[in-house]
Amino acid sequence: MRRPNFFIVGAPRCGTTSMYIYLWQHPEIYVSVHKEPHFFGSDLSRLAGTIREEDLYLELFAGAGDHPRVGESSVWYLLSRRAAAEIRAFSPDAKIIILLRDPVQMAHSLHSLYTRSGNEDIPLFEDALAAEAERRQGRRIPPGAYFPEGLIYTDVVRHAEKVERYLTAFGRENVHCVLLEDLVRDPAAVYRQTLELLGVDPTFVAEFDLRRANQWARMQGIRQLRHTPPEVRRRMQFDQIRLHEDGSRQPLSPELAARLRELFAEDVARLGALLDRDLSAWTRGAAERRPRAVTAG
Amino acid sequence: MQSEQVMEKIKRIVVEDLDVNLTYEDLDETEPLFEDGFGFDSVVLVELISFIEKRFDIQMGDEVLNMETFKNLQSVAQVISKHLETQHAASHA
Repeated sequence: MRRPNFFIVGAPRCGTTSMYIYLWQHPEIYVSVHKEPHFFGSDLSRLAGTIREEDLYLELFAGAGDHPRVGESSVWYLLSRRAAAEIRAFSPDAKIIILLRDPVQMAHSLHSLYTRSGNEDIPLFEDALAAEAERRQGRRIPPGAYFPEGLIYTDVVRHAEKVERYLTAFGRENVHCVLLEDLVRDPAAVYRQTLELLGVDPTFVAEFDLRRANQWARMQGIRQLRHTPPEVRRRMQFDQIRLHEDGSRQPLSPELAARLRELFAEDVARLGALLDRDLSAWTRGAAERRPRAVTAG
Repeated sequence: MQSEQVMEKIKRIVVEDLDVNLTYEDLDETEPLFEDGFGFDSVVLVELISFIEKRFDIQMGDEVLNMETFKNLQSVAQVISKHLETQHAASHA
């Protein structure tokens, strides 16, 4: 049975679904049709689609054949304190792809998603942030919350320590960090760099139009799903290959955005040093002028 | 098999076998199957294909698994009818 040898480990709301669908189209790459199995990350809450049984997990890659690259995407591996080491133990030569985004925009987007999905019951982002202290103590967690860790927004969006964990576990040469704003601005260039990391033909041209890519992924997913055990299909409670819709969300007030930028400034600087990238645009709040070319999911 | 019979059989699968909470009255044959219509997801579609293969005793190859086939119930019925015609012609050749 094939084992995955690359992983998109996060972060949520940073373009992981787009990257997953772009990579899926590559003829030398096989991805699990079940997005986000979260097999690793034993310190995380068990999500609805989580697959912790190794035999079932490996079934996700049963159709991989001789594809050189076999992978999956689970957005919470980045948050987990254990996932990097667990992946390393399972697949020592794995390549790691990490998508990142301005933490202020990411936190706001995650809150917006959670208010729609039922993980969050505090409608105002500012109020949800104010509830974090209590939530850390296990209080004010919504009765319907399916992933309480995600509600500590200011922890989830601090990237530096998490990225460092992967750089340490796998080595810099095996970890590729992508910024959402780069993916939006020039998906073809980012895609090419990602293919180079994976060691597959970098000249392959993927469909970047999201509507057409989504349709392709849906039918490809159906072909793969037909050969997937019913138990895995049962865990896929919603359409795993549908791109996340951003939906409408409340605007982020300039005052709150400024306060958060200050709060995250140190972490952003540390991440910039780690990636050898100037991320001062994140601290200035000038990172994203995002058209709907890429989904944030 | 007449095309009306094919459609009847497909509708029976949707209402009685799939976990989609639809009644016969809901089944407009031209309604899209996915999120802008009945809201089927990929898992439901795989179940639908599996039931179609069993009930019609046919194999739906990868070549017909495309958005055109699964546009709506009418397009699904057309593909099945064509498949049955080909099968019938082959068995009488």
